[in-house]
Amino acid sequence: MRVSTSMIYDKGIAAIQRQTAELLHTQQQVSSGRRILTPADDPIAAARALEIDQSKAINAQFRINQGYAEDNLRLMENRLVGIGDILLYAHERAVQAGSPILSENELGFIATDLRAHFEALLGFANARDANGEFVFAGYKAGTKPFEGGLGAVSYEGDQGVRTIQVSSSRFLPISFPGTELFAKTQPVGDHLVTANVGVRADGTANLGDGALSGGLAPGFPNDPADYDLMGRRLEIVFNGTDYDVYEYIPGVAGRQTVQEGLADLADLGDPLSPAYRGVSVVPSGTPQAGDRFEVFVASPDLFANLAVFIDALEQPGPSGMTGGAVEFATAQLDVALDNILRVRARVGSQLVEVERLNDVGSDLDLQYAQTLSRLQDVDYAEAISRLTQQQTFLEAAQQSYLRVTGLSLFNFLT
Amino acid sequence: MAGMLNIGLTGLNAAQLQLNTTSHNIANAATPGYNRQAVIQTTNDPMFSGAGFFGQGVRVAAVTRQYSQFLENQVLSADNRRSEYAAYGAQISQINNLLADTSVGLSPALQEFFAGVQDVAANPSNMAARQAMISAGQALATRFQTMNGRLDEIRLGTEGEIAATVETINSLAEQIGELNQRVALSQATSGGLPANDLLDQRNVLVSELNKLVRTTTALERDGQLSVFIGSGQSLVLGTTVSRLGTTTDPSDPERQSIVLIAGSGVEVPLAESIITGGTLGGLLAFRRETLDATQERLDLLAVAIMDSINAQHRLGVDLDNVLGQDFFKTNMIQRESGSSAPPRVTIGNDGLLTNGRYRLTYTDANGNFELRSLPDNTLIADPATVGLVISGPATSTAGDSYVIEPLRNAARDFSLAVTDARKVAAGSPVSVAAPLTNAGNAEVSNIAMRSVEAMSPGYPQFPAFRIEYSGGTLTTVPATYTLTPASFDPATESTGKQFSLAIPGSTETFTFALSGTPQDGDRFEFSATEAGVADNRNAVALGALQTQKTMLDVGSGEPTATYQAAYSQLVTLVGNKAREAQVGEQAQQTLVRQAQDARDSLSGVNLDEEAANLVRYQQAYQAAGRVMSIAQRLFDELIAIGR
Repeated sequence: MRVSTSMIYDKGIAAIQRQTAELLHTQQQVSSGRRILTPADDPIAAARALEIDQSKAINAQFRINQGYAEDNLRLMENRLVGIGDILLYAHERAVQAGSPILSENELGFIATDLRAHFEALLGFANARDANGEFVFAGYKAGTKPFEGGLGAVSYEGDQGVRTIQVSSSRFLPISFPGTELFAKTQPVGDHLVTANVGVRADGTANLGDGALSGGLAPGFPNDPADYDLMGRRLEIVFNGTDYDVYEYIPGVAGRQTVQEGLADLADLGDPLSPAYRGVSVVPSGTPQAGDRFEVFVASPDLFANLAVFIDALEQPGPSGMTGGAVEFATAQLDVALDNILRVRARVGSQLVEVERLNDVGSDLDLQYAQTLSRLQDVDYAEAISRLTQQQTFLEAAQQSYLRVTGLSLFNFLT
Repeated sequence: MAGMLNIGLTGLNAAQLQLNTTSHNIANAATPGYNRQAVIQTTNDPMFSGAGFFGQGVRVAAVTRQYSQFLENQVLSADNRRSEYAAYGAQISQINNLLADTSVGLSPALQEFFAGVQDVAANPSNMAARQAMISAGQALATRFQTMNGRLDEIRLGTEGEIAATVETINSLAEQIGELNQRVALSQATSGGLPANDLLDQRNVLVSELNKLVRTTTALERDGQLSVFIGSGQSLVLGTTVSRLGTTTDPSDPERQSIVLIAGSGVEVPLAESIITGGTLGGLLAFRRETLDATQERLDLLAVAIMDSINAQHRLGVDLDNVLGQDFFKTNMIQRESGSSAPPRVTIGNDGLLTNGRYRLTYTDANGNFELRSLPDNTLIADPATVGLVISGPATSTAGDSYVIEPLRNAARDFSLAVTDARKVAAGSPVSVAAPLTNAGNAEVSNIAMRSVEAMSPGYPQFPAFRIEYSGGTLTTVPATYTLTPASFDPATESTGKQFSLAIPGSTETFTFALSGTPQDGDRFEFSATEAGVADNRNAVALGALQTQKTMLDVGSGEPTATYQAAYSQLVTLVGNKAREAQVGEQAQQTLVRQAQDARDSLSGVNLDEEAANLVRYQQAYQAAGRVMSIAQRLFDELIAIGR
């Protein structure tokens, strides 16, 4: 083949340029640590890396959320322990109040003690978190959820449950509305009503064998106002022909008259009757004039029940402590405690779940990092050996270029 | 003797011409497009005598260039493709580099925005988290604008290069026309002998032109070269030269299209599809295939993100207990005439969206309208056919009109509509409460809003209602609320069953799940949410959009891609195109080199060869001179005899 002089120059320069470009590419890979310098280097891997990068970022966000959830749940657990301790203490005091040797004065001391603990419980129910928000108010975190006192505690929050996304498909509840912990500790049913045989006004046992059995009025609640009828005590006195019905309302001093001379106790369960108290009380046996009975109407609200007991300590009814009050208090406090324990168990299992998720999250993070590294990062051993090789080739090309272009017949013409 | 002197003289002349040509070759060894020349020698016509024919020396028949049209065409063809790829590659590498850096692409901005949303979901009452979400939204908007701005710059650069290339093509065509004239003149006076150096110069111009656009050439009888582009439009016809020009595309004022301006001044539009090859073909292909696609995809991303985030945000309530407004906005709807309220435009099927413009004109006072596409004013009976869902306002003035541009400049105009952190709609407008009297443990959860259309405008207000359970049947009170399905079997469905509820005036307001075991008479009271600062339900739903498929709807309207996947597809598209251009340029470069080698092998100057020729013709010159000196000596002998 015939070779022209410009071919020698052009080909030499082209070879050097190509090798320099390759050397530069390798050098950039080595200096940046990235195998893919632009998407054109490996379009599929570049797009894949973007997606993995997003997955990694989302995973990191979930781990942050898991942190939030864990913090919230741990605080929640601490508060539940505190609430449980108060309920246990109140339970002990209730049992203690059942001792027949206690004088009315001493019962008063217990009542004072329990009043303090009632306030403490209210304090827990109105607990705030570090941001100054009420933790048991549902979504209405800016509103104090439990207002009132011994007379009536009303719930001002809502039933919202805050959730937080801790994995791609899991939205973990991190708050409990106050209703679930305090206001709705048990379903509404006839078991809320207990009717006890009391003693006569002079302290002697009832003369007749009359007894009452109680349940909720048919169709209860017939009206939102019916809720207020729970958490009360009724005192029923047989006056020979009719019944005199009185009630004790926590926070209200003294016995209130419902109706004296009530012919039919069924009126207590008749919404149209002025004597309606939301309970259906059925008498049995034959009472004698002056015989007294006491009906406890418990509430799903633990504050109301505690208030009824404190009220009973301060203003004992016809059945006294041992006749029904202590039994009422221990039963209701047990229910409340069970409810707290149920929530605690739930929080506990959620904490375990968060920890598991956190472990999985850190594994995933590592996995994503490895995949990203495999997709994007340069293999230094390979790249540096390639760099050395390319450098050798380039030097060889440069030296041979100089040799070849130095050859000319004109060198010999004189 | 006289014959001998003459023969020596012809030899001397021939050797001199050979030396001249060799010197010319040496002098032009580095001249681009130079084809080495050779002298064709032939013997003079012999003289007849009785003894036969006696030679009369040498003469130079012609000076030819070592040139092969076939080899030259090989180079031209390969070089044309190479420069097309090179122009394409140079432009696309800018987008490629823009997308290469993970820290400046769209991905990080998207991720940060959703991290902001998640923070609000985790701390809904925290104003700092809400502000951070707004800032991240602002950053996302800025990123869209920056990327679009960079693409606009690239577009401006491409348009500029197209105009400059067209100018260069015109200048080359002009020069080819002039050379045609000189070649024709020279060859006419030389009696048809080739004007080598002029031809070489014209070849250089043709090869320069060929780098800019694909041309075909035809050699005329008088030595003139005609040049055609596209599908046979003549650029140079002998000495008549047409011009290329750029003119503004009627459908897009930012776009230049190519026209051919004949000598008479008539402009003939050239379709982009027939202008191929060379820098101009590469630039046009880049603009058409990559730049347009990239900007359209970016615009689509902007519109899709705006549409889906807004749709979800409007289903929530903010801190002031007002229904959420649009979170992002673009300039999709522009008022054209009148003062009626704008229509509400959302995306139905983003697979059907085009870069088109539409005019919406109200036809009555109740927000009814007709939609026509611009500029041809074709009536569009159903906006769904162009991927849009449009609802008019309650009252309107007939004749008032709006222009709707779903995609155009969406990324450029993408901006934040919410700037007040209190306006972040993190809550949900529907709340449920189970009264204390419920005897069962059933609960309602996962209320997911579908529509707020039946609520009073702007506020999460609707009359409270309740659902009552009795004997496996759920009834709504009042009965105007529709629950589907209306049954619940605690025995088999206590783990959770989905229900859909519609308040009067809506087809579906929200869905929820019921789980647990209800007792007869249990009820669930639904009401409008009162201001709840810690309500994060809508923020959680917004956060879930990050991993939800919301984009690139297929025919049935089923979305097939997440935001990130749609963006990744763009990166793949550009990466693949850029790689194609790089590989194509390398391959064509190799072909060019091979074709050039073949051509230079024939036409190129080899200095060693010329050095040898110098020696050779120097000796021929010396030998011819010796012949003449011998002839002179013979003549001297003759003179001496006579003396």
